[in-house]
Amino acid sequence: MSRYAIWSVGPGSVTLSVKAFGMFEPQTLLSLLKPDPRPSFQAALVNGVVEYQIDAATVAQMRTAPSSVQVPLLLLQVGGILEPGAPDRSQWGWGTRFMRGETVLPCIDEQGAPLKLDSHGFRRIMRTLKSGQNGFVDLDVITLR
Amino acid sequence: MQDWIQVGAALLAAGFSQSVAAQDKADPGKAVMEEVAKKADNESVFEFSYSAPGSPVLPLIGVAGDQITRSETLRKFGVALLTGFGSQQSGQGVAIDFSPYWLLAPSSMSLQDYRDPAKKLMRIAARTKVGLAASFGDEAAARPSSFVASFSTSLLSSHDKLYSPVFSNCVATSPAIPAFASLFNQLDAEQRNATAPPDVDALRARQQLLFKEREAVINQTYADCANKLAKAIAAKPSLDIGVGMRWRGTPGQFDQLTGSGTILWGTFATGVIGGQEADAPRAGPLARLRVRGVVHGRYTFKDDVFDSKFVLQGRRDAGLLVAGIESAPALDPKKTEILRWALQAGWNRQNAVLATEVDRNYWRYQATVSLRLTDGLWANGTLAQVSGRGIQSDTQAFVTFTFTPPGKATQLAEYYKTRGQ
Repeated sequence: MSRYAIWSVGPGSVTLSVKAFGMFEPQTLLSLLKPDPRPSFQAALVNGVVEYQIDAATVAQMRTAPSSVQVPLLLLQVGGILEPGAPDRSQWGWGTRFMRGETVLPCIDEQGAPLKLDSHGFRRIMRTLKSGQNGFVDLDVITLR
Repeated sequence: MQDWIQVGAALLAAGFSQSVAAQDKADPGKAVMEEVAKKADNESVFEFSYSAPGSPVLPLIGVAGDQITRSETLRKFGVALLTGFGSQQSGQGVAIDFSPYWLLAPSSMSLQDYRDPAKKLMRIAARTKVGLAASFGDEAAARPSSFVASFSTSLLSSHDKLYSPVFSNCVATSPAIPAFASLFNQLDAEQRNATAPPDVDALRARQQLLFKEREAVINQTYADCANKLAKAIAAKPSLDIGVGMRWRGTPGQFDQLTGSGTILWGTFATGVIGGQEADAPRAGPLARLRVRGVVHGRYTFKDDVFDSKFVLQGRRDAGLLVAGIESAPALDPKKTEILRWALQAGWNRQNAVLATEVDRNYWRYQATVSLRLTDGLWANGTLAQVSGRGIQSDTQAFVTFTFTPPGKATQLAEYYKTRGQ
């Protein structure tokens, strides 16, 4: 499932961390799907993890809009090229983690059921590669509540 | 002195499986052998080496083209053990190798986790491989069935593909990165004016379509950067060590195997000595010569020795020390390697077992030249001389041809074709 929500976000800025699972350097783009003007999210690489800061104004806008017709959504696109020598050439994946300060925010599916996070607070998604495939892309669609 | 020419040709993977398929004898180990043979045909199980020299097919056809054992392919090591140390007899066998660490490690490990400077021991464990090889033997030729278990590792991180930053750095400056960025931006722009909330499945399908449009660029980047990585690693020093144990039994059977020898080996290869890159000014005819030195030591304990009627006569210890120099590929990924050469001098010692023999103490000198004929075909010429105590001095020359499996050869042809565009 690539569509999910972050629950109990509350006011204030949050940090989205994107971690690659598998042997590749992640290529990512985070954007907000809503009419212009749209915020631009700058990626920072911290210890191999891509981090995006989502400012308080954007968070407030997303939290107040869920009942409107055009719901503001975060679109996270992830891709990469698998390294030669990767032991498992059939799988790649990524993990997302939303944090306010040191607190990991819970993640729920569209029906409101909690989604499992790993011990570091990442929601993992693993994908299967076709034989001979070296590059790949996928995406997440995320709402804040 | 005896001069003669041997000409051999075989297909690597098919050679293993067909030799096993030809066995009709009912045997408890046959099912296992067939399963291993089936896996041998699966390219995802084996990492086929594109290199011509050192092909595992050479021992299979009774030609030892290289005196040196390297851990890059334990299958070769296993098959070499099966065919006997220094023996000119060929054997039918299958072999497989795997890394126990990667069998147990989570598939979700990231590249950054693997490259953590504090995890040196973890990386050594990841490079450690177990190799298994088995041969039915041949009753008519008085050759026993054999099973070999081997264990080896590469101690230096300089030969670790995943640890090397060369591929990552190459990709970072390649056309693939703008291709990813344009893909992401195009999908994002298309959603900007959407009037309804996006359907995630449709969004993903559109993203995959946009990816397909850029896949050729990404595959090209992969091929070029992987080639650059392979050449960069080949230029670095390496230190491999290993141990192998062999069991033997009645030809065609695997149910009553007995211990039959242990082998210890180590191989050190220097980094590239000398050589100039393509854009360096020429300093003379040898300025662009890229060579590396190799030292290999191997000791065999209690290797079974049989007579012509397959009666055990005793056990032999044997030592081998080889030093040599060999060509190294150019770092420029645009350059196709068309010629390889190697010069080796090896000192051998074997204690006598049969009543008709004496202790052997001899030198073996060997020169090998390999010429790339097409994308999947190499011609290898070897001139070897042995002289010393306990053996008859001899000079041999032989020519072999090595094919890459057709599927891989097609990929190589495609690669060379697209690379020139």
